Amino acid sequence: MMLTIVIFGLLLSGSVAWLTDNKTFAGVKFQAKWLSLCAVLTLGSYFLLSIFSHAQSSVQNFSQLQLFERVPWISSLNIDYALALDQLSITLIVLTFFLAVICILVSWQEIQEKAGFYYFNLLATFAGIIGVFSAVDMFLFFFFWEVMLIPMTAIIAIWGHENRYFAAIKFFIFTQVSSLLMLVAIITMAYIHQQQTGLLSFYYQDWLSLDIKIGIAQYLMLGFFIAFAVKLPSVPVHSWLPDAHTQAPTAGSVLLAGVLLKTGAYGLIRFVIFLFPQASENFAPIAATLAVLSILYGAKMAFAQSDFKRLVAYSSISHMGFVMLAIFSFNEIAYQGAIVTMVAHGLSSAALFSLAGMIYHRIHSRSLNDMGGFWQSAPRMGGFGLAFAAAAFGLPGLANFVGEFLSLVGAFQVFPIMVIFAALGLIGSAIYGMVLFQKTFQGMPLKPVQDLSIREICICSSLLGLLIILGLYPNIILHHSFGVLT
Amino acid sequence: MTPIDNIVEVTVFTTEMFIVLSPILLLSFGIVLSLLLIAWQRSQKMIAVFSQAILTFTLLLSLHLLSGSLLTGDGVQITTLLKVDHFSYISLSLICLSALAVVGLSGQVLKSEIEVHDEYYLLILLVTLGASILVVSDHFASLFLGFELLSISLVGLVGYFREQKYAVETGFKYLILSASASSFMLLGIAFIYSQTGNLSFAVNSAAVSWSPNSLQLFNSIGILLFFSGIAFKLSLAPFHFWTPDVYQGAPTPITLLMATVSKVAMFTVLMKCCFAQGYFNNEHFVDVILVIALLSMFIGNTLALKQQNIKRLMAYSSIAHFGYLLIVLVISSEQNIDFAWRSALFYLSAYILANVSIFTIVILHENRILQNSAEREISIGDWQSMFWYRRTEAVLLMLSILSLAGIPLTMGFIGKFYLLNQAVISQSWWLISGLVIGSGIGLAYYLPLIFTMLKSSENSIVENESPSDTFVKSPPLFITILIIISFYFGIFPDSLSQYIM
Amino acid sequence: MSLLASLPLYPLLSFLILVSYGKRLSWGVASWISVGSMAAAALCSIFLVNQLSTSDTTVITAYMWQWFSVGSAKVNISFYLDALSAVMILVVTGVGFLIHLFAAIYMKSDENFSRFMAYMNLFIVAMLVLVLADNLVLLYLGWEGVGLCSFLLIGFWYKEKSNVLAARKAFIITRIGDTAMAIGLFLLFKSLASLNIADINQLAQTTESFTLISMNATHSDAYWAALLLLGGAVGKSAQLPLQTWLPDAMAGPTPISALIHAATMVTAGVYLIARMNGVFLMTPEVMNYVAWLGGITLLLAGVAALAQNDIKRVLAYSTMSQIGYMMLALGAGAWSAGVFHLMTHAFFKALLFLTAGAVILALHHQQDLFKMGGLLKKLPVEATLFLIGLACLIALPGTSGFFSKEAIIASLWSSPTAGPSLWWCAILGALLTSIYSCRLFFLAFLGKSRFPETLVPSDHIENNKLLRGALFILALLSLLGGLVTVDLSSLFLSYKQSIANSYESPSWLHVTAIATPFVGIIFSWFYYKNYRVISDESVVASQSTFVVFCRNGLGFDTLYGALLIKPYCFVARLNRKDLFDQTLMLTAWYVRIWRDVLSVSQNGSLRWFAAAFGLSMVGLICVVIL
Repeated sequence: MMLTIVIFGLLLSGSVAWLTDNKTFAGVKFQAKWLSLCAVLTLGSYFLLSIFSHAQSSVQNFSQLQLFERVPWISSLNIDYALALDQLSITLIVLTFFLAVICILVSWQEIQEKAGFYYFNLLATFAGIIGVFSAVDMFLFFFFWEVMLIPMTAIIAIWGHENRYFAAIKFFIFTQVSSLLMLVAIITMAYIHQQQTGLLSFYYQDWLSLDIKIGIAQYLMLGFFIAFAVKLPSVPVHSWLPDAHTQAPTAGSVLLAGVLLKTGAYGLIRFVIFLFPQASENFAPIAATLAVLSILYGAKMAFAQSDFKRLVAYSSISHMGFVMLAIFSFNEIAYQGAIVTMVAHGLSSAALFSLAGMIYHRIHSRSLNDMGGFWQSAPRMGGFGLAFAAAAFGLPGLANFVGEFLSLVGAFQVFPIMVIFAALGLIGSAIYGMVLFQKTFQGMPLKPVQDLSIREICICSSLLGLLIILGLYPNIILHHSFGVLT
Repeated sequence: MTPIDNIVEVTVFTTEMFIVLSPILLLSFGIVLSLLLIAWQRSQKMIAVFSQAILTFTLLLSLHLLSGSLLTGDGVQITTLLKVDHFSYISLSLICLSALAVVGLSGQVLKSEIEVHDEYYLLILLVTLGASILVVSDHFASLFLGFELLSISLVGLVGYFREQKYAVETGFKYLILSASASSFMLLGIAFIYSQTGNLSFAVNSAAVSWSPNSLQLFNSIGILLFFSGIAFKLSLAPFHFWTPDVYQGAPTPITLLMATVSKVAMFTVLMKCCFAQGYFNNEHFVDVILVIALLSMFIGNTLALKQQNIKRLMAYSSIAHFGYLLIVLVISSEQNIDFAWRSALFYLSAYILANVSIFTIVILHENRILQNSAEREISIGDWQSMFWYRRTEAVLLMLSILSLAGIPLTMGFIGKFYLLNQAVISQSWWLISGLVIGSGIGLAYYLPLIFTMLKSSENSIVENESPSDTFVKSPPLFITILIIISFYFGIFPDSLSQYIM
Repeated sequence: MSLLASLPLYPLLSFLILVSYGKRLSWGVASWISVGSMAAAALCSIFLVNQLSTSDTTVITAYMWQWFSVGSAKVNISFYLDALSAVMILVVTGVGFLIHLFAAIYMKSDENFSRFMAYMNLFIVAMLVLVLADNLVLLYLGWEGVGLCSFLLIGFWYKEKSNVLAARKAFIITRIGDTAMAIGLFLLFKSLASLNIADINQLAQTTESFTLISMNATHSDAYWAALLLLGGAVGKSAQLPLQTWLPDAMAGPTPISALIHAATMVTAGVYLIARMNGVFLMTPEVMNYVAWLGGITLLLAGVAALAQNDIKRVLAYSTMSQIGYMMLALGAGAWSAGVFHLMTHAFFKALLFLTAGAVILALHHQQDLFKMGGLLKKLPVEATLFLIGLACLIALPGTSGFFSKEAIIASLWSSPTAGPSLWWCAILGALLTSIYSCRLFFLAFLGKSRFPETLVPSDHIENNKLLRGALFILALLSLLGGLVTVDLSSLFLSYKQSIANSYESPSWLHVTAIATPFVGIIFSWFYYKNYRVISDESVVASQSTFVVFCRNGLGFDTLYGALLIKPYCFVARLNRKDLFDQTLMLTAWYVRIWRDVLSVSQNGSLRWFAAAFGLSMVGLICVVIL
């Protein structure tokens, strides 16, 4: 029941925020941002509390999937409304909630017109994402997978920057086409289940027990893989991401980079690896090559950009390459690395995008050529910018380093040569990190900008704090998310 | 058996048959009555109400019979001509529903004219009758009867507003093309008869495989000709050329009529015929279906790109959608027939709902524009930033567009899901890839539609926001109902599909 | 909280305070906090070393918490103090304290004073972590940390583009080395399943598979691991081929050049190799490479130093060559000699830089040697201090430099991994050292004054006492530092028995070694006559192509520019519009083409429709029949 309350609570409060925005009831002027902030905070805390209580009560505290709901939904096709949680999904959901607060805070000033509808979309996206992380009925999973797409597209298309329609359509078509392939794979799996056991089933746990002939399994695995690789994104299907990230409003970029990309990684771990172990092991070399390609290509492209957000977007491609490499090296250490990297990148990219939003709010430009010497007038912003750039190029002591280090160490056991190439990505990341930081904050001061406000300092410092904590004590995550993968 | 025995056999007309056939009888009886009514007094309001009443009764009756236990699994054979079963009732009720919508919406259009239009309603009823004959027909002869009834009365309707710009041209186009189509079809039927010596669907004429060198060639060509006739009505590529022009030229309610009633009827009868005759285990026919389906998906979606005129856009998208729908004709074996029916009917109902909603909005808009400016057609631009000043209509529109695009939360998605299931069972990967690519292209014109509605309002909205229009009163109820239905069935498809089974 | 664990805390605290309050702090407070924290750290480390020497235990460890665990291997945040790291923390905190003291006065007038001191403190923290780390990952943390700080401090005056670029260059080039080192870590973990330094040194000796050459590989894991670690060291310590960043790094404020780019950070590479001696000893060929790298670097740097005009750049190149000596020592297996030289070099090079800084300050930030001259009279104190420094650098007998450098040179000839050729290298290097030192001294302090304006009187610099005080202590250290003999031989392992001592050293070695500096001095006394005597003909830097070539760092920059930077930028610029994106967009274009083609068919004329109908009919029939 708890998950249902969280998901539908988000939807409900979103629609309430939409309807009651800027209306006065009993002398109180309702504002969507306040309402949605409260909603996210309460539901988040509710989620955490109930998880803790559940962890106390239950024995194996989420090292395995723990079923929360299972009620028949479309009984004619034997589709259930089934939600379950394990450590991996809990970690990601907590991340989602944290970034949800960040998203609301960064759009505090930015979104003025149509605020109500905006926050409705925002909350609907959160709901969809949480659904994706917790659905164990594959039809339901696909349902949420698409549902989180629609409001996200709306956010890009309505509140985005100059070229938003193109970006939104591109984003939507990429994801839609790839996920249709996944849908076909899902249906096929269901019918294979029917052949083997006699009844149709879309239930994840049932599928784990299937044994599929490797010949078919490879195609099915590919169907899933493509969908998740587009979402991750991996070269060569990454090209929706720079446009979407660049054109989206700040919160949109934060959401995309922070959480939506993680759904791809989550899918790879939960479905590709676990449902088709054999097939994906055969596929691993190709996947690893793609991953290394993404790392290097992303880093190189990031260096080439002159648009702040676009640069960060390409850097995300590079970072998620590490995750994919780790996932496909079938190695415990690497899995740990993958998880830490997912969370760390969620935080660091969110931080960089919020920074981009703050700068845009001041100078109304994303071009690095219009920036420079901000340190002079905004030392605080400079300090945070430095820290976030450092996180992006994997400075030890910040979370990203732990993730990348573990991923590479783990992957090195399996693909030494590829890891050597992947490690070149560290140099590439240093290069674009330097370019980003120095072009923005160093050099001759162009125009004075005012320093961070209290709200912005709160955003930045909370993100930085988490980055440092996870960087120096990553066991917080490792102890609570690793049980899944052993 | 010889025709003589046939007649002897079927002369007995039991009460069961009578009851089973009652909706159609009611409909035809209603038509006669309305003729008398017109003779007695010409009043548009009255005839409108009356025809609505008839349709409603027919609908209720068929729904009642559907829920009733009269129908044994295989349906009731009424003479060799007709055969009523479960599915024909469902399509019958779909037809009645859409006809009702058409009649209701026609009121909005006809209001602006001076003269009394009672024949208009009569024609609509006749179309409905033709459609209902089609869905119950079990014999090429009855099929042709219904077909002609439907198309001839449609021709009358298409060119109805004589003084409008395209009316006559469109009417002629439709007349000539559909005439040629039906002649092709007749020829095809003749060929088939020349092979099987029987026109009943039940006699499986495709049992013997087609071998070009034998006389069976006639049979194959016959089936093809017959199929092309129906494909014309369903506006499948490459018989689709007339569609955009006629859609655009016809009065909007009639466009809706063509988009819904005739297509549902045609597709139902096509399925009946194909499944009864077992074309699906004959690979040549399957190849033809494959080619036509892929062509329609691609051509329809591609042509719809960058299309500004809403009615033309709908025409193209309908081409694509019936391309998708052809998937259900390609089934691997007998026992999938039921599932194929279910998928097809669900998809059809989703399609009808979407079309009805969209055309409702189109008609409302046309009226608004006709009021304050000269006669013109609705283009996408007219819907700009609609979302911000006419919320409910925009929401309905978005829902229906999303449903056409097959995005979750809508019926369209479930329909597409059924189709994919169907395709996976029959393992027709070509069609699947066609469907995937097609819907990929489709998004490229569905999304801009939505985005234009979401565009933040600049100018030219204020004058649209005229309180004078009288339609804003009545439609909202109807619109909200539509919204609720499409949401409900989108999220709980079982509540609909349990009827279908 | 043990004393050891608290060592980095003092500078860390002061860093946090300075960062969070920033400009609001007055000069007094800021300097008190930062310098005071350094003093505390220095005292603390002295106390620790004392504790270490007195107690019978050879190591002090401090375990804080488990960072993360790599498979079975635990990676802890924990410190490890033995004689080697003891030397290092003494150097870091001691010299660091003096330099802080100097910097507090030197940078007084700068608007971002507190930020500067904050960076310095942060650097000290990172450096302490580096030298105290008990596992390679924590060491890597410090390693990257010092890199970041050096980046920040080189680019401290970020408004000049050149400084910014110098900082970027320094960071990226060192990062290349770091990446090599990281891969080395992966390899070490793969083959030894541990990341703890002590364990690795142990396991390297014992594990067979580590040193064995596997059948399909040409070299053993040990070889590659050592080579990769060497890559890291080379990057940090500005040895060939990654040395080009160090001269440009002089763009930073002079105290930074003294602290980071002379005394501490650049010697981190030496420390790393000394730390990992267990691994290096397993692969004599790599030790040989190390020795040769050091030898070549010290020669090239010496040659380059001869051609410099900028006083700081001369010192930078001399640093490079001195580190070359240390590398040479390590390569030759003379671990303690190398570390000893590291220490003494820290003293006298810090002294040289700081004095140079004082001189530069007095000359209104004039750094060009050919604009100086005759300063002996004007700045006698600085001159004498500088002379002391140079004496140590040249290794005149009695100075600290003498002892350490002699120790190195002596060990070379007989070393199995070095040999006579490298000995000659070292001697030649010593010669060069003395020559460029003399040139420097003559140009700056002798000859006729070429400095137009009047100097800033030294006592106009406030707190002059303190400033001088720091310099005096350093001078004292560099003079007497040689007397404390650092014997770490117990710490380091020795060669495998397989390699026997190849050469027995002849008797004349020491004499030659001691004599060499004097030869150089005498040579330059005559060769650079016009630099020292007060004459009328103007002294100008020679512009002959070779000299210019040497002055620009022997063309390494241009080489790398052509080989690496230009291609990378070119490719980046070429593919700014993302090839993959364009190819994917092609499909959209393709569909649009089709749309245009098809929309021609929708021409609305009836006869055409009928024709199309019939034709498609025929077409279908053909599909069936054929």
